[in-house]
Amino acid sequence: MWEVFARRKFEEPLHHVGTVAADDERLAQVYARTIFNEFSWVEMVIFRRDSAVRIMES
Amino acid sequence: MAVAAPATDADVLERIRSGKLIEHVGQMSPSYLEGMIRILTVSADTELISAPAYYNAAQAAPHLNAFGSATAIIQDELGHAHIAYRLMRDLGVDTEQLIYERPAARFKYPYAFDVPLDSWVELVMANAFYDRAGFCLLGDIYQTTTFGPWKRALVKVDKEETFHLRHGENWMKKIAQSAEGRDEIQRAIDWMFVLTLEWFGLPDDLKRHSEQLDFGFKGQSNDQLRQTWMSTAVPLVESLGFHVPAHDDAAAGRYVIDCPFPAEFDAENKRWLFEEGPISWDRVLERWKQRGPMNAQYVDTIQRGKQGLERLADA
Ligand SMILES: [Fe+2]
Ligand SMILES: [Fe+2]
Repeated sequence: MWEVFARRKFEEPLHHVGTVAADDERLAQVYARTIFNEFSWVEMVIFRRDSAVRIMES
Repeated sequence: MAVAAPATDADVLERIRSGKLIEHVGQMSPSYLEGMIRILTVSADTELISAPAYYNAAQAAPHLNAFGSATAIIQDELGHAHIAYRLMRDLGVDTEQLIYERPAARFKYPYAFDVPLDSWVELVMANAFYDRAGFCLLGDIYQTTTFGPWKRALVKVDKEETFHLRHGENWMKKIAQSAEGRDEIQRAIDWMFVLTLEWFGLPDDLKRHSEQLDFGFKGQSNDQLRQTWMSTAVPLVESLGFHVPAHDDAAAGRYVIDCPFPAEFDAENKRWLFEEGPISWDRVLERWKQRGPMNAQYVDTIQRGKQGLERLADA
């Protein structure tokens, strides 16, 4: 599972736009790019969900 | 099927009352989890099946640009389906099995999609009516859902559904300029309007699933959602000079349906048998359960790619 972050403008921080499920990084890139195509982003980054370090519980 | 939901109903209600959202299965009770999976399945299946349904009609696009906008909508719908299925996957559901191995008749999307969209006019009317129904239902879920990951994901879905229904409206206006186009739109309205009214389900006095309201799965009732849909669909149709069997009763502050409802539907000929008068909702549930003409074909369209690949891999 991958968390997808993106931003539309250079003056804006990256924010969470969604999640994709893929077994490998290349496939995750394709999924993220095609599923979250609602804006012309200036940057998009994905992280493995299991790499997250939880500091506070929601 | 799903991983254990360790909380009790009281824990869930307590959490909701304190203004928090439910973030993961560890905060759910078994009945919350079960209800959430049920409502997510309907949403995911509806989005998914709209793709082959729309693709069928998109092939009748009048020109390449129109075909492009239709395929963009189909891509959006697959994205919406993806959101709901992967939320279910996080809840422990085997979504591969759900999508690729479930028998067609057990998919949970509205009956309307089982009736084929055969022309460009029917596709744009589906955008104007069906996407609007999706927009009303998901807008309500966005307002009231207590499941955080879904609420956040719906912001994107809402924007895209707005684009879809505008696509329908713009094309209606364009097509309505010719007499021939007007006839075709009116014919589509005649079967699609009442099918969309049915989409919202049983009237409130016959409806079960009360946890939908307690757990914030839903805000408006079925009848309220039907009214919400009519409050924009009817003025749209009337503003372009078309008619529907419903009118605004200003004094009562609600829309009134002017035909027998629910009624018997001849799916092969896309015709309501209003002359036979109203029927019971039990009879409608029976028709829904039997599914309509396109159910098997659409589900097969979705499933056969994967099944074909597996056969190749085994060979
Ligand atoms: Fe959608
Ligand atoms: Fe849509």
